[in-house]
Amino acid sequence: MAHPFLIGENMTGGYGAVDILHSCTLAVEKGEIAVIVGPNGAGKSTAMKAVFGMLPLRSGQVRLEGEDITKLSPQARVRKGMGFVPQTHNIFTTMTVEENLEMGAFIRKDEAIQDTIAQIYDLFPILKEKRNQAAGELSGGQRQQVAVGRALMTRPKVLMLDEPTAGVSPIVMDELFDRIIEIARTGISILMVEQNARQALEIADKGFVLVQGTNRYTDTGAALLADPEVRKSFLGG
Amino acid sequence: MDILNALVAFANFVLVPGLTYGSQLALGALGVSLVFAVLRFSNFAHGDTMAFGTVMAILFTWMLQSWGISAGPLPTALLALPLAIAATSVMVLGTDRLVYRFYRRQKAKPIILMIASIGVMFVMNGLVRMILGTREVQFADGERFLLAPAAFRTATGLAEPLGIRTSQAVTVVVAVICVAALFWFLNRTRTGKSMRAFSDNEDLALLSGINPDRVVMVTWIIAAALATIAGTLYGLDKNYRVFVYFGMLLPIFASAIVGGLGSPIGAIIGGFVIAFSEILVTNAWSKILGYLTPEGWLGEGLYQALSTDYKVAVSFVILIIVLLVKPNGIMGGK
Repeated sequence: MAHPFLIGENMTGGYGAVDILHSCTLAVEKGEIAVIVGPNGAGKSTAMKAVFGMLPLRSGQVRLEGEDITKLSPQARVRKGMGFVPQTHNIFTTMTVEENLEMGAFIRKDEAIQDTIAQIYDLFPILKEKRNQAAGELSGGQRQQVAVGRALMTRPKVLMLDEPTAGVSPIVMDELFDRIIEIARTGISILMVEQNARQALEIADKGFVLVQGTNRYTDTGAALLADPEVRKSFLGG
Repeated sequence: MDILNALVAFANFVLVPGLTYGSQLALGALGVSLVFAVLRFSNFAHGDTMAFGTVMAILFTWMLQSWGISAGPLPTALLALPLAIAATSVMVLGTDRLVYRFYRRQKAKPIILMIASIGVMFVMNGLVRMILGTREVQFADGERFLLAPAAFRTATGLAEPLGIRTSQAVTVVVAVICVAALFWFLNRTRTGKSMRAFSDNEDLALLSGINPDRVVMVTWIIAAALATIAGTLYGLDKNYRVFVYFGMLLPIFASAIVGGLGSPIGAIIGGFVIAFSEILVTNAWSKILGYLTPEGWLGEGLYQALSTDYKVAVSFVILIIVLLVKPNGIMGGK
């Protein structure tokens, strides 16, 4: 793997004078799922925001398909094929489910937007049922589906999810993970931050364990789950 | 007991003026609400934007009249509206470029933008006074009445007359068209939806590739159009005087807040709530009650709760009650 599909390499930076990330590296291959786990305050979300261009980097590089995109704004990265689902405020609450999806496709100029909406409805059948309902009236799990659906509307090559299962029940979490696997099978790379480390690593091709803004362990999901050190420190035994 | 005459008197003195004034307030409040929803500040210059738009409509009306163009029975000002809207849009976009954009780039707090808008208000007020002065201008032409009181009386044989002035009918019809067009635009077009998305969640709108400069521009143009139309309709109905427009700011803000700032439907409901409250409280009820009670019961009184001079107080009181009881407004704005 000479050129990972998307890589944030040796990223160092923070919001102010103090760095949050210290030479942190995240990467994902085409059609694979990469999961970022770690304790609270480890800089998981910050690292992902850095990959998406929402954090000024002091040093390091972000490359998509070998192309240096370090200097691009988040909006420009969306046009390059990156989709981002923020952890909170990730839907238009006053707009209907369908309008949320339409807004997701705002940058697209082609005529096939309705086809993409139909694909999203196939992936999340409940959204089709609630298509004319205000997204803010939906349950937590359904709102996350709207958020993921909105990000998929640009037909991204990489989908970045910031704690997609935050605040949803375990059953809904399993359901969301199943959908995420389905999305990855269509060839879309997934990079996600997860609190539920064990469940997330179970579906991950690759796992990054971050501690204090730097890489502590990097391996396949299965290997990390099997590693006694990782189990003891981060997975509760 | 003469219920029929009482109803006609009610329609003549309360219903028709209330619908007219309510439509004018609703259009004004829609502009305020839209700017608040998208640009996130209370635009105190809206009253004077209405005055500016009306002045433009008056100037273009005179221009058309001097060319011998008229709209037949309808006021010529209706033909002047598109030109006046264009001129007001240029003015408002210029103001945005000169003033508001600077603060927007700095991510200034809404309170700072609001205070800037007060400055804009004074400048615009002065500008408008330089053009037409402080005099009263009557620019309504065409037929005066759609339904003349005398004609109504001869047709029905009732003692009470009912008059509907052309300006009143035009106001209601134009307001209905504007509101329908605005709602169609916001709910059906891509640009309209992108405005709602921007208002709902600015960060996510930017992530979705919505161009903020375009949203801001379209919002100002719509606000300018609504202000021009509301001001011109009010001027046709009442006559134009710059200070009256300055004073309109209070009932318009009361309407927008009562309905729920940022909610278009709320602005319309708020407009009619304020308009009818003002008229119900300041109307002299002696005539209507006279038809409903036996002769001689009422005595000499006017049965008027407040003099019309105090109608502004009514908007104030409603505003305070709403802010105390339901601060988000009837439709639950922001």
